[in-house]
Amino acid sequence: MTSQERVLASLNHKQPDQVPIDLSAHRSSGMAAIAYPKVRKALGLEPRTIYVYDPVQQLAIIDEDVLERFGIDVTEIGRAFCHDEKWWTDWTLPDGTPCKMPIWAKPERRGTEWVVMAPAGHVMARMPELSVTFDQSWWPFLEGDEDLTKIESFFKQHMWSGMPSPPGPSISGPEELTGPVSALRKKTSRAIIAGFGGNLLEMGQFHYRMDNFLAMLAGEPQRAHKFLDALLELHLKRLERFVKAVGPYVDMIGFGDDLGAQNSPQISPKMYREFFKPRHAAMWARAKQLADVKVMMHCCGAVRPLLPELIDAGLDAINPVQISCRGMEAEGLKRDFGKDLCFWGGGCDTQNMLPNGTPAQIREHVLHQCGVLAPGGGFVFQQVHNIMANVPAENIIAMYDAVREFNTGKAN
Amino acid sequence: MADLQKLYDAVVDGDAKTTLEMTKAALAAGMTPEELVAKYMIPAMDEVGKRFEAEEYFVPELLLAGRAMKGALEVLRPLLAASGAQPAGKVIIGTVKGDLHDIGKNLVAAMLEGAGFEVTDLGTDVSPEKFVEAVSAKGANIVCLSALLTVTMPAMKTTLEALRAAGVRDRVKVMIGGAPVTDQYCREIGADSYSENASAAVAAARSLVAA
Repeated sequence: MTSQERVLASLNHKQPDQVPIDLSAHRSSGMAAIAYPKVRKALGLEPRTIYVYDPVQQLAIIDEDVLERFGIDVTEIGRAFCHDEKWWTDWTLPDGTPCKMPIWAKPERRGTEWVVMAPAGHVMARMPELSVTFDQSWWPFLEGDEDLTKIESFFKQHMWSGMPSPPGPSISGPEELTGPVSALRKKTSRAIIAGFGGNLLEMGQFHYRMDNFLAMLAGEPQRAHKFLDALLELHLKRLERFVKAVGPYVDMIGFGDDLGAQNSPQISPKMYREFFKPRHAAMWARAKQLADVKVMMHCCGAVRPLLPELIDAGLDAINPVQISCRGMEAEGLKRDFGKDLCFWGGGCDTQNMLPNGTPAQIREHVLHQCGVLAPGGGFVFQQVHNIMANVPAENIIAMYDAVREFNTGKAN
Repeated sequence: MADLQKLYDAVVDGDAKTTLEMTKAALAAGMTPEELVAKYMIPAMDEVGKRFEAEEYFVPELLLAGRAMKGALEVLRPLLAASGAQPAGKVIIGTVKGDLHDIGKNLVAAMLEGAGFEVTDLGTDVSPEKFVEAVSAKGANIVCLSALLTVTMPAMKTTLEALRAAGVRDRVKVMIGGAPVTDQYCREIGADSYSENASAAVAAARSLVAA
């Protein structure tokens, strides 16, 4: 099987020849740029310039030699863009390591912290000393005077959409995606994800601030519906252009909406059904009407009570399967939802095991997770969320070596 | 006299407008702020906590109730201070150095206030030195530390070390919480209590001040 065939088999709940593996094919399966050079060194590979594809979380573009060493089966459309040095600028990671940042997200020093300025001149993101990721610091509707006709105009002014991964502003519209993405399709045997977004709950949180939008859902439901109506109209318009441009060349459209907290969903299943399910369903159905693609959604946290709703709304694959959260044990998820939903993640816990475990413990844990999730397909391996800056290189290597051992029956 | 069951219901339902109106009406009718807090606000917030534990309420409902209660407390707080009423305990709360996340911390602060604690919220990205200063300045007996990230959790340990170095560790109970934080981590760093949510934090704080 090629990598693409392997991923598609698993997405279709057929047993692939091996468990497919994702590393850095979206913004939640990556590796911190601080950790990456240490992995290269530990693997005996020469140092390379570090390019950061996700400026918010400072995730490194993983070079081909490492992707091959770990047997990675998935890539994303962003890799087809920004190969010219003019799109990159020098920066220094919080640990002092030099790197290249996309020119549209160059951090500036302000006292003891780093900030990123929005085109409109405000600070849209902050990273204090000791932190290794940016956090949003400007919300367009914070004061409550929302003009719903301006949502799109604010995309460049707040953090997540204002600090995008490549291609970002290197293209002027989705139609410019077609050429490079079709070329990527010809060049790679990996499955390709086209990350779209289409976030609903999160966009409410990005516009009004997290607490305000959550409170609005409970206290001012009509106001929340109005915002979500305007947002969905915009998302559908953009989704249509996006899928028309890339659909024939990619395998999955990536959506995102973090609906979970550590011990429960952020919102009740009832609230999900009222505000979000019909709107998710509309976007996912539209994507599938326009191209032969699967839909994957990144959704952190303890979301088990929402999984039946997400399946019913048409979701094919869920990421990152946060197994350390309440109710998210892989055994129960596979038993109850495995025939309907592909688990894109859940391969290795990142809240405790990956940063704090020993390589031997990580091996055992990964073999166990693969043993639970792999049978019958419906599983793509990735650790739960990004590999953070503080994870030791030997732990990262132990994790991928364990997947290889599961796949081949041979220890490295 | 106003129907105070409505005040209780308004807090539980997160109806800020009615909560404030009923609070003012009750005060005008001669009810003392101590009675209002003890008989209505605290039981209402306890009910909110119970509903959260039972997964009838989620974060939106918790936030809404917290906001309703806070609105009433803004009226009551100066009156309570003037009457010399003693809070259930004095809490210093903040998200640790390097971490800007505050939703969980704010929920804990609101629930503790709703349970009758005096809460001083130092915000986010709070240095160990600021925690130490606040403990002395406020005469606090509880310090609550929050962290959302695995990479900022070590700042909890550093903060505990700073409290020890300043000689104030024995004066306070230290509670910790946040998505990646565990009971095991609490024991490892020598904190006094770990809570997995805002409602559990109230129970923990009550038991720490009773001990």
